[in-house]
Amino acid sequence: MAQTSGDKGLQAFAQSVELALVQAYTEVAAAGTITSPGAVDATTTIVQHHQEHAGVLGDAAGSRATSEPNRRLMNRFRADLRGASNEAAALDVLFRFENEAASTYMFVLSSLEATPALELAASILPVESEHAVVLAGLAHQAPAETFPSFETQDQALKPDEFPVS
Amino acid sequence: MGGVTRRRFLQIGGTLSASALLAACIGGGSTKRSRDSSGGARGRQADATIVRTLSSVETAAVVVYTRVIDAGLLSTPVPSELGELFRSHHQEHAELFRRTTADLGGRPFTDPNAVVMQQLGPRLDTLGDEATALRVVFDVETILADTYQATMGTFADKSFNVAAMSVGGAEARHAAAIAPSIGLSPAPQALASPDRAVPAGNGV
Repeated sequence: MAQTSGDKGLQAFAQSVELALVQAYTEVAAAGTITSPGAVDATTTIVQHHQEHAGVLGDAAGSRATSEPNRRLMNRFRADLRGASNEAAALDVLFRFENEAASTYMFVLSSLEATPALELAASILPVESEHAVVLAGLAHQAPAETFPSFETQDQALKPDEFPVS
Repeated sequence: MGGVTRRRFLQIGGTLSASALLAACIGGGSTKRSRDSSGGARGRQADATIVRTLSSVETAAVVVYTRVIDAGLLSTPVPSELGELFRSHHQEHAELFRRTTADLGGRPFTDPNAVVMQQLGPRLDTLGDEATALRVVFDVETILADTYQATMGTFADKSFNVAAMSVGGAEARHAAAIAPSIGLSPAPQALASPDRAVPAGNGV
């Protein structure tokens, strides 16, 4: 099991989360649950972003980089998606994943030390927040759930619970 | 200020550093490290300059939203509802950063940021319809989101990094909500870049 201490360890953890998100979106697409053109376009763009996030985080993590989606997280994602039998339900679950991703970067930012690592995390966090807004619009989420006045760490995925595989 | 935020303020009020106060306000973070991470008097002064700038850009956003709301330009249901909500967020953020400025020993800045108002002020005088109003509020949200992102690594007290992005992420959500209504992508790129940031100390 890879260590997640230090900036590079945290970046590898974040990379494993991004790879799990890529896997989750890929499996949702393969299941054919999301069919409306707007939702298909949005989720296609979002998965490309997560793939890119995983790539830059892997580059930053160097020798600590991983090529595998976070296994425990993937198990949890699959369990959450299992009950999503229609597009609205799937979008709602993906919306929660994006909120968790944004919250995770808040957690990561609280522990990173080097400025380049902080800058990289801060360039990803707002994009996860944007994804959440896109999915919230498609899933008709209430504004109160979509627009917190502050991003928090309350929903953060943490390496203690979801270690890098 | 929301209930949880207020409660967290009250729970720790006056007993921790400004950064710990801010960190506790946004939730989830430890307050241990903040006690001894303020960077000394010089660090607190530098951080106060950044935080004053943040309060000034938030005040500019409040001014922009107030102008378009009072002019009745956010007339359709969704922009109208979100405009009121987003303005309240900016008021909350501005108040928080003013308090933090004072806690750092600085003089709270209560005016709108001059750089932002120079950019957007003339357009506020010629607003004609909801589309032009939405374009201005999108621009102010983008400037704010970029300004928070640009603070990364500049704080003497590192716990401010997470505090700044807790607000920056919220501003990015605002911009994403507005973007489609003016024909823009809500999530245009995989990595955000702080192209439109107001540098610390500018416009205050």
